[in-house]
Amino acid sequence: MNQIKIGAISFQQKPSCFETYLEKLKIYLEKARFEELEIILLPGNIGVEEIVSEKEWFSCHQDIAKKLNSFLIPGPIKNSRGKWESVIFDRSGAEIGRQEEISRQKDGRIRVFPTELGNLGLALGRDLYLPEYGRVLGGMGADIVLAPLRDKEKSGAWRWALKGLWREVQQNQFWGIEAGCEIRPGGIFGPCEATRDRTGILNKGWGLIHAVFDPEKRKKAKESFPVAVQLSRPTVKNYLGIFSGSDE
Amino acid sequence: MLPLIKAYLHWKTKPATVKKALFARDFPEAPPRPGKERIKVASAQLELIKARNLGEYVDWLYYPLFEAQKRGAQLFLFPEYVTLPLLGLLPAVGEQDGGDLDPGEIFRFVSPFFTRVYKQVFSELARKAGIYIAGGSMLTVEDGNLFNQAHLYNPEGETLLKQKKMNLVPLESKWGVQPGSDLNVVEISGGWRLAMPVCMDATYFEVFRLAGASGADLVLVPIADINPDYSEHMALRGIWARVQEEPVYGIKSALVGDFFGFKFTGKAGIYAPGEITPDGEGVISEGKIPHQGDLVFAELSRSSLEEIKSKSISFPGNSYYNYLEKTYDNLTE
Repeated sequence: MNQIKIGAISFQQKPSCFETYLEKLKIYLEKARFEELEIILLPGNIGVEEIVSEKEWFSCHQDIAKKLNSFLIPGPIKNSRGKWESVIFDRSGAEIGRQEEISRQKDGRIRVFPTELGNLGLALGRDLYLPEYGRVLGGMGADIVLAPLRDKEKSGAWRWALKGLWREVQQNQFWGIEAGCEIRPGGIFGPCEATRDRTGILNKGWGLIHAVFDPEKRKKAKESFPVAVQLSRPTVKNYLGIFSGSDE
Repeated sequence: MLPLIKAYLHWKTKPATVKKALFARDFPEAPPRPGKERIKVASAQLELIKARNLGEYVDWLYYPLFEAQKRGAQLFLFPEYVTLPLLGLLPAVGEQDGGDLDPGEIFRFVSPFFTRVYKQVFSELARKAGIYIAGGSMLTVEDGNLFNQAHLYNPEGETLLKQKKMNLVPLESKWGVQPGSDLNVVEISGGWRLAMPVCMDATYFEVFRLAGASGADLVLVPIADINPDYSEHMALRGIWARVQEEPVYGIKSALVGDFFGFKFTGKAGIYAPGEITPDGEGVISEGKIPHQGDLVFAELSRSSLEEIKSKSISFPGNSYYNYLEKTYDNLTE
């Protein structure tokens, strides 16, 4: 697998309407085209997704993906089942998969989508804060996990921003991209050992941020800190035993 | 040669010597036992020494404990590998660094002597200070196998809990250390429930889920990280991240300093879910410099913890079971 150029767009303020959203996006997407980004994650929780139809929401983003010739992941929208859901569009604008937030469901399905750029997974809403969700994505072979944030709680604390996807990236050693609106700036994450300053942060900020995922660096990180290899079978067995006594 | 060294160590670590070393080490009046609502906890960031005799070793443990007890600590945590300074008792070892010795063999050889010292010293310190003491961990031989094991003592000096490290670092696997299999949880005064996984165990959310499922309020994690270049972010991958996932208080002790060519760094700290710390950081108290000694202290509230427990994202439930079962087959095969 080759190096991948990825980007995320986050808004410091919510757009007032769908048109404003598209105008704001346009500025950043032109930069994204210039940078030849291969995957672009758009923010969740922007407000306008609650007033447009699912059809309108997806068709406009489908067009954007096609024009940019990039994989595009728009923020989640409530689907016909009343669940928050996001979609991955490929370079041709074709939908390659969709994922619902599953933490509030009894029978949710977790999926990883194989693409030419690696296996992509989506983490929505509360799923991002359940370590089990990240562990399953890691076990399914996710190379990149994308999280269009729907967080509502705000904090200026620097560690607070690491409570979500960064934490999942560290314990499952995949790459991660998150993008939000108002709550916290976007972030592009990798295992600490795969980042130059060992922070696990490749880039962070409002607007468009971008970085390069280098599979060789990820491989070396996994060799130097073999998290999965050192997890003992008795720990796993005992942990799975908790489920026999748990209710839904 | 070995029988001679054995005899020498036997003599250097005999109970009467330990008793003598502890004799003059007194504490202020013992604090009251932890109550239902509040518990005062303290944890050590201890800078390694090579103890030339048991007096030096006892002093190394006594002074931070004395300071914490004076401030009212009702529970104190020492670091992982807390018996390492006793290697200084070995003839010629005190003056040189390392060599080609196999650490696993050395730890097996000294285990009977160091384990005896550990048990006597920490039991006696807990009794004299009149508080709960988590003695950190040591390498010890049980049924012919080498384990990294921590003990918790009550204010009467009795062992309340033994915990073997369950998830080892690669270096320990290389030394022949065996992993423990179960996480134990114990209740102390005031109804506070404690678990004490060791160092690398805190890398795994599964361990903290086990603690939470057993009703733990406090998870004590003694660490000793060999890492010459301390990284704040890498340190966040352990106990801090875990208490954000499973609502418990986390208390970490750390062994720091240079020892036989290994450089240990880390910070002692007391952590909580971000939602119940004033600035949202999830840190109540933390050591300042990662390669120097320090002491951290905090008074913890049960009602704050209960509040966040009632609001937090619940355990995912049985719909995850099948996914996880397959996941672990993939990860551990």
